[in-house]
Amino acid sequence: MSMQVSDSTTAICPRNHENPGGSDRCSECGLPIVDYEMELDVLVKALVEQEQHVKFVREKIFLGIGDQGCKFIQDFYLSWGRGLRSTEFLVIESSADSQHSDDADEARFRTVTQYKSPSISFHRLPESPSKHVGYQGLGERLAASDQELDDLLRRSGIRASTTRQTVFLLAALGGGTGSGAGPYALQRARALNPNCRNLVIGVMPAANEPDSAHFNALCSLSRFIKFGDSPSADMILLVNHDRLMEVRGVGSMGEELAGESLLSHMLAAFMGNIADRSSSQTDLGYIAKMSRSMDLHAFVPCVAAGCSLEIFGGMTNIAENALSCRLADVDTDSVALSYMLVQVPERLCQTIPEDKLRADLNKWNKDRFPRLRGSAIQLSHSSKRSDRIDLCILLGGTKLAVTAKRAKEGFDRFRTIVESDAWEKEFAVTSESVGEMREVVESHDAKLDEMAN
Amino acid sequence: MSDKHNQTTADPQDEERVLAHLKGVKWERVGKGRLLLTDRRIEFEKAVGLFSSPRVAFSVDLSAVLSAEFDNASNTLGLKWLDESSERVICRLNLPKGDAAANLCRSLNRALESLRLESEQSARLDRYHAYLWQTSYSVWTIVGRLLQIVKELTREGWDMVDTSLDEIREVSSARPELLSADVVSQIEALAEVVPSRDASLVLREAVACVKALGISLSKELSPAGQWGDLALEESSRLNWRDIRYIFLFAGMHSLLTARQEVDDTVKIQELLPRVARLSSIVTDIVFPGRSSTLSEEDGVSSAVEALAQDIGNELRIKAGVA
Repeated sequence: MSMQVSDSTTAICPRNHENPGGSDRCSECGLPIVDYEMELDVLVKALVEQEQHVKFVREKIFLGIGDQGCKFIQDFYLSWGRGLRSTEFLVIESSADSQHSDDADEARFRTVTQYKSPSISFHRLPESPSKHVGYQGLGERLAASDQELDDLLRRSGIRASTTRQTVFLLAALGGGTGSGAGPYALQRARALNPNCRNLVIGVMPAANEPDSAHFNALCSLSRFIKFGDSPSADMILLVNHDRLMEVRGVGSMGEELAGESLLSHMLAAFMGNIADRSSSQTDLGYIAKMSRSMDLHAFVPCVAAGCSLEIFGGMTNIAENALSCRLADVDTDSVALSYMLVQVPERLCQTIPEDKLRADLNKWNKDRFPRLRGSAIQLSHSSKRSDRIDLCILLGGTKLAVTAKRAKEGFDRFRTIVESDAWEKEFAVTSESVGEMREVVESHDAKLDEMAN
Repeated sequence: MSDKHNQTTADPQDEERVLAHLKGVKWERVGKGRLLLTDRRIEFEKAVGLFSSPRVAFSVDLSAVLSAEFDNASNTLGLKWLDESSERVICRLNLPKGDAAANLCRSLNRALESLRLESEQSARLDRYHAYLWQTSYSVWTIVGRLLQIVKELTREGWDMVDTSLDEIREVSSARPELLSADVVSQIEALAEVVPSRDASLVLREAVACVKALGISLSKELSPAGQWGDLALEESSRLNWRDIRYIFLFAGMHSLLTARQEVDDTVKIQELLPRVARLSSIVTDIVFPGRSSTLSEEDGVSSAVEALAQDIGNELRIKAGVA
């Protein structure tokens, strides 16, 4: 067989006929003359060019776990999430949470998956042998047995090559799925990307919920603060369900904000969405990293949404209003960090210059929190015509003995009524691990005391 | 288009040649007659009478002869062959003494040996062509799936990426001898990065697979060395070299389809003439005698798709894949 090589003087056709160099077709058989090496090069280059279409970097991943977590993430996705860039949404339920069949569940989320980016994906944990996931231990065990979970997190964009990545987890901590699978999923996210910052919005059960719900919540808090050797969450924003139901705000269209819509509004403010949908000026991941470096995990959000400057008279009063609209109890004496996210309409810039606004808020911080060790004020402007100001304060360093008081009480009561041999069988935990979880919460507060002294 | 499949001129070498003949041969129970040996058959004509034409008692294709043994002591030739109904026939012929009988037997043995070698060579050539078609189909499948992976990466269709990868690995592991070692190891490298769900990383490995496959086909010999001289033969049937055009067409057409799906007009304009030219060559390879229905100006994606479908089906049939 002669070599299939074309040079400048000859061109070889696919049938090996020699032709004058530069011939387009073979004079003998009529077949086109193709330079294989060149065509291979064209093909490979065209494929390499596809890289520009596959560079998906997810800076923010929103994770809703358990029935309430899923509902909230879906609500946030529909209200604000579709405008976010480099973002992915993932909702995880257990079979017990879901009132629907697999098909119905998928259909429920399919209605919101029509948007190309960001997308929202649905996943169901494996079915529990006992058909229910009422406890934190069972939820954690189910998540740990889920062979698809790591792949699911990777598919949502969590990977070590993304250096700037924040996972936002939202879960109600009274049920088994949110309290158990939530911390586990965050721990896996951290394992897949050690650079990622994990932020939790955890809704604590209502006061009238049974002690078992409070037991779950405290176990979950403990897992967020310490899972193995390190925390699974950098920052936990604690929201008391009863407080959430009481607090009201005003949205940009004058609508009332309450419950889930208030939480959505708060999260959107964190994303810088309220100010300008096309930009993200607040890097909550950075704040989470800072909090972790100071070993402060628990935060209480305080939200003043849509406060008219004319009615409130000044920033200090709006800050005072935000504190009164806190979403969980705060021990003001132990607050060590204050992050303020302020969004002011551009037209008010003349009325309250930035320097004055910052000075007022800094003074208020110092007056209010005697043991404050650090504060940050993030200011953004909107093009709104109204004089409504949004202020969200995150108070860090609050003692769990105060913020999670009801959970601690419920936990302790629940602990006394469970027989020691029932822990493993019914709750998928051991009496030792339950003791350790209690200790983690205790030592969290003890550390705050140490810092204060 | 090509003239290689349409040769009709009679080859003078195709004419039957007489190698030897011998009179006075006696076949027990039949009588005396003449034994004729050509390069194709052996024939015994029984002498009937002085004025009558001889009658052919048997005429056997040499390809049907199972054995021919000459016994020096008795000067007999034992012939075994299969008749038309594949029944075994045994015939013992008494040859006249002399050099002529020995010469005929030598010629017969030489002819039978030559026929055996020819038949072996033909069977080997058939196996080689089967190997080439199987390689073609493997290349077609692998390139198609690799390009599918590239396409799915642009929309993060990981389920389809997994399915395509499974198919690639199935082809590669079922017949690793069809692919070069570089290609097999590159496929494994791709399989290792897919679980990371890092689209950039997966794309790089998928492109590396396409490149490795392309380079392996650019070599003048197939990766399976056992074909030796056959691979160097210039055959009117499928050649090793032809597979590179099948590879290029599979890649370019898949790329064109992907670009058409996103209305990338610049890329489409660049790829269409290339696909059309390659389609002429591949049609000539896969469907000898049929001309490609695509013209270089053809912008109809359905025509490209239909042709690719036909080629894929034909390759599967020729590769003997159910």
